[in-house]
Amino acid sequence: MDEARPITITLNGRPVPTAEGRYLLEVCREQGVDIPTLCHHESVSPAGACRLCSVEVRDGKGWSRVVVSCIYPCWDGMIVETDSPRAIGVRRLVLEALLARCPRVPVVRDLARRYGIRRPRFALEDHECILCGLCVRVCSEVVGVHALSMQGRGAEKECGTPYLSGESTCIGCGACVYICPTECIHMEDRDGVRTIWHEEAGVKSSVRRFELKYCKVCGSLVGPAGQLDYIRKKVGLPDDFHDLCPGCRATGRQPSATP
Amino acid sequence: MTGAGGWVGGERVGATMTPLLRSPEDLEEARKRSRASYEAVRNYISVCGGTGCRGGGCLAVAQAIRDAVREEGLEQTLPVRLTGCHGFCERGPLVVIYPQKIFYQQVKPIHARRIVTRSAVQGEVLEDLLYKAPDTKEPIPHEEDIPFYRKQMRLVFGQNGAIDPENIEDYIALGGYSALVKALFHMQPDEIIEEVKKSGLRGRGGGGFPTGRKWASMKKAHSPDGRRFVICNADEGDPGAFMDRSLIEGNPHSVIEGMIIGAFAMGATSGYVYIRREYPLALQTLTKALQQAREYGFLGRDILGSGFSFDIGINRGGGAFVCGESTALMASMEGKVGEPRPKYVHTVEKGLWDRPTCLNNVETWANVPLIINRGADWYASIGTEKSKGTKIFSLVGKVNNTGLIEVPMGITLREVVFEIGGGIQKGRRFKAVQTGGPSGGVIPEALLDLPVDFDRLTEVGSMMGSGGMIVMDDRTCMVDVARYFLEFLTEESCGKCVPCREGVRRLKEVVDRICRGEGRKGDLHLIEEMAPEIADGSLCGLGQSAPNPVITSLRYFREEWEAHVRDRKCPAGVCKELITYSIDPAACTGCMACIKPCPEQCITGERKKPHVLDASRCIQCGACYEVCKYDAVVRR
Amino acid sequence: MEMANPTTPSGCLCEDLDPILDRYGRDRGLLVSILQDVQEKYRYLPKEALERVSQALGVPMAQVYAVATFFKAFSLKPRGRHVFQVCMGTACHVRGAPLIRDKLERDLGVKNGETAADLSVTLESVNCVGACALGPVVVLDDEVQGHVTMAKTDALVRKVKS
Repeated sequence: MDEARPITITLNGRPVPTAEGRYLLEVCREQGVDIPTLCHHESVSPAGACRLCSVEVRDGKGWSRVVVSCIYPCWDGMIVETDSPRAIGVRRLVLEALLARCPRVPVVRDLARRYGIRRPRFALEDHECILCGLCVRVCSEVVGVHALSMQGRGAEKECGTPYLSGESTCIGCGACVYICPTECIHMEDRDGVRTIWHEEAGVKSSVRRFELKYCKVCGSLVGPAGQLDYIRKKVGLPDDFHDLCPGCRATGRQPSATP
Repeated sequence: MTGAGGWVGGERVGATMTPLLRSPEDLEEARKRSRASYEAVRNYISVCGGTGCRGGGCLAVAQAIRDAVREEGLEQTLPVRLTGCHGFCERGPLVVIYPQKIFYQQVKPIHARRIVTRSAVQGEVLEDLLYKAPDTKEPIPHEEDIPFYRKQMRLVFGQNGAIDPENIEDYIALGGYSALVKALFHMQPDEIIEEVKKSGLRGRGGGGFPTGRKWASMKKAHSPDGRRFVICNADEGDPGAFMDRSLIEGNPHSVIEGMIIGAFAMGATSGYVYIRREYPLALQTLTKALQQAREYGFLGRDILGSGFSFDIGINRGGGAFVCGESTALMASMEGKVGEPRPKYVHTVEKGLWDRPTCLNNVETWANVPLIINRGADWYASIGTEKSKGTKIFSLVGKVNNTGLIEVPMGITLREVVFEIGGGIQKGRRFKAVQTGGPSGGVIPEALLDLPVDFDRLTEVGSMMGSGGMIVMDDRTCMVDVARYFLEFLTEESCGKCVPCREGVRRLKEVVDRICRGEGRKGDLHLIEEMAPEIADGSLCGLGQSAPNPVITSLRYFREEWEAHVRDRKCPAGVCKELITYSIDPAACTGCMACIKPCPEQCITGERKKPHVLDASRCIQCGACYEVCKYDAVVRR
Repeated sequence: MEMANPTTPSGCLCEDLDPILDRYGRDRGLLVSILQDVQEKYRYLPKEALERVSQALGVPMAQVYAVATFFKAFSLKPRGRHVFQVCMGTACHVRGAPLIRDKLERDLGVKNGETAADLSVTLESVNCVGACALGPVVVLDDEVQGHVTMAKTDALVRKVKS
């Protein structure tokens, strides 16, 4: 790969040196320019789905366009205005629509309020998922088990396991729970069982359960059996590797013959 | 499914077994044979086998004619040929008697015997089956004299009625694949691209991007493993447009020839046709055409001995309008959901499987052989300054002559609607013409003299799109049409980005309530505020152009919107919640025709006495309105 | 939220689907085409068939399911023996297609997009079948019916019910 060409862009009136082809959002954040996002996460590929990171780009010769900064590659001489009226217009539309869809979700409410939206002019619904797709991307790109997908299309789109059922390739790692910006994916460990589910307005879907494995020495939680199997197979570890928790493994303690 | 073409009766003179053509000389030999056999049959009956005519029952007509031919013992001398679409679908089924070229319309199976014995054999003209000029009622015996055809310039579409789409020999006989020979043996790839550039050809699928420039970018793009693709977009999704369907059903080899030439010019290694599942006949015709092209050596290894190898596969669409968007189409061809991605990196650089990919629409590809054969200068002499050549439009809606028309760019809307289209049905008043499908807009009467080309249509807020022209009269509600497009787009949005998925359906929510008579003060402003935000914010062309139908409607028909919001009235009598049906006692003859169709039994009355409609139980189904011959059912 | 529970067709699907999978060289790029043939075979996409396709092509089930629910060609529920498709293209719309659709809903007793409980008939709307000059158009069991009126609709319904 060639070394990226050094270039200069104008960011909110300031010249900023950077490299050609870098994503604009990254550069903005480095420069301390605050741009809101809901579908972006460093650990997965950008999707350009929520459109909150819209900014206006001009070439100084009369051409201008609103682009999503999370996936827009920088080019030499571009003039970026992150809070132009057009960019703000897009963000306000997105937030008003998301607030009408998910009126009780804190992160949406806070962002909307920041942009001066308190009551959407549309009929209120009771969703909690904003369909950002972060859970789907983390599951396929980082974990590699492809348990989740966006299903259906358009306004009917929803997110979860096939048939929204408990049957799936999910290993119970919980990555989707950690990455979900609206906290509509839940996880609970109780009585030796981990449960992960999607929930909107009290309706649960994609409910899947996993047996939990505990350390044979100290009894502390090691992880869901399925996930541990997945890791051992992938990395090539011995079958009994996860019989102990990392702590006990490090100190070389052995399980006693009689518990 | 019955095949589109084929000779029935009358073996074709000189027809030989499939030859594999290994050189341009082989092709010329084959052409001589094809032409001889094509011309040997002079007296025949041609039946239009396009989808429109099939909907009108042309297969039964063709069968009846074949039966009559057989019963008369004429199988050996009078072939019956099923051709591609002639375009004049409104008047189908269409039958033409050769060599006199007598044009019969609205033919039924009962006419078959007379057509065979009196017209085809005795040369008599059956006046009752001729098209009659709407004004003078004068019967017109020849297709080319009918006003619908007179103003047309059928360059791309011209061979549709003349060839059997299932027989490659017909295409060859009429000069087919000669452009390919010219391109492969007498031109350098860069010359071909230069020629296409110079011709001024722009993409017929909607955007109007200069084809030559796209080809040049593709040529320059680097592929890590050498694979490069050309794709024909036959996922014609614009509601109201069906020219791509007719081209593939009627003249598939013109599209295939265009693709091979393009592939050679751009160095593509394989090609695909992405075709709509809703078009089973097109799929069947194309499959057969590709197979024949392969058998003849136009596809495959070392095409005509040129050293160039290339083949074309078929990919069936799954039914998603958004797949008209290049990146969505390519995602679907990779076995993924048809979601687009931002095009900050163009598909000519990274398209299908991340390889350089050139996607052009059916009609664009079909223009290529013409340009190569007759030259860029000739092509560029047709049309307007920035829109060259012809364009096929589907002229439909409330116009007298509906069908497919091919006209030079720059023709005015007035010529299209009133001369070719023969004006508005039932003598009603023209209100608007919609172009560009869900990405386009409505154009009012005041702009009827607008020359039709890419840029002029965009200037007035609409667009060319793939060429649908839906004519609307005073009984079409412009608010309802806007609502219709929003409903279409809400269903067809892929749902990936928020402005399109959420924004468009919220726009629809506002327009819905206006149609129900629940519009609020400020709703029109709300629409105008949201429109540019949806356009700016959406990921792909679908969302970016989604507000166009609403915005043009508001711009040109604002009073009608205000009538809905302010007066709770639908002046065109369409929006169900805002209209009532009643019976005008002065006009009602008491024929009782409306009583039975009423599902709610809310019409009562005796024979020869004015009937009464109980509006309190009426569900606005329109059944009485449809059956009344005396305009006594009033909708307002 | 509805949990799909498609009825299982009899017999093992694994061998049943092999001819279809082989016809397309088990090419995952042709997933949409493959699913169309599967749908043609069963008139819908049974869960077991999706699982088989997923396994044979090496495409994750979540992706197969996403594709199956994205495209209009597919149905995850059994469809009726007769299928009415009301064209909702623009030309048909301005010529009164919504009234025809409403009438079919009334006369068939099936809502748009649904199938009768006895699997006798399915009513769907489609966004343009490309027979625009004949609007309004209804496609009944793959046969295009042009210039459809209320009276013609009656005849079509009678044909199906008899």
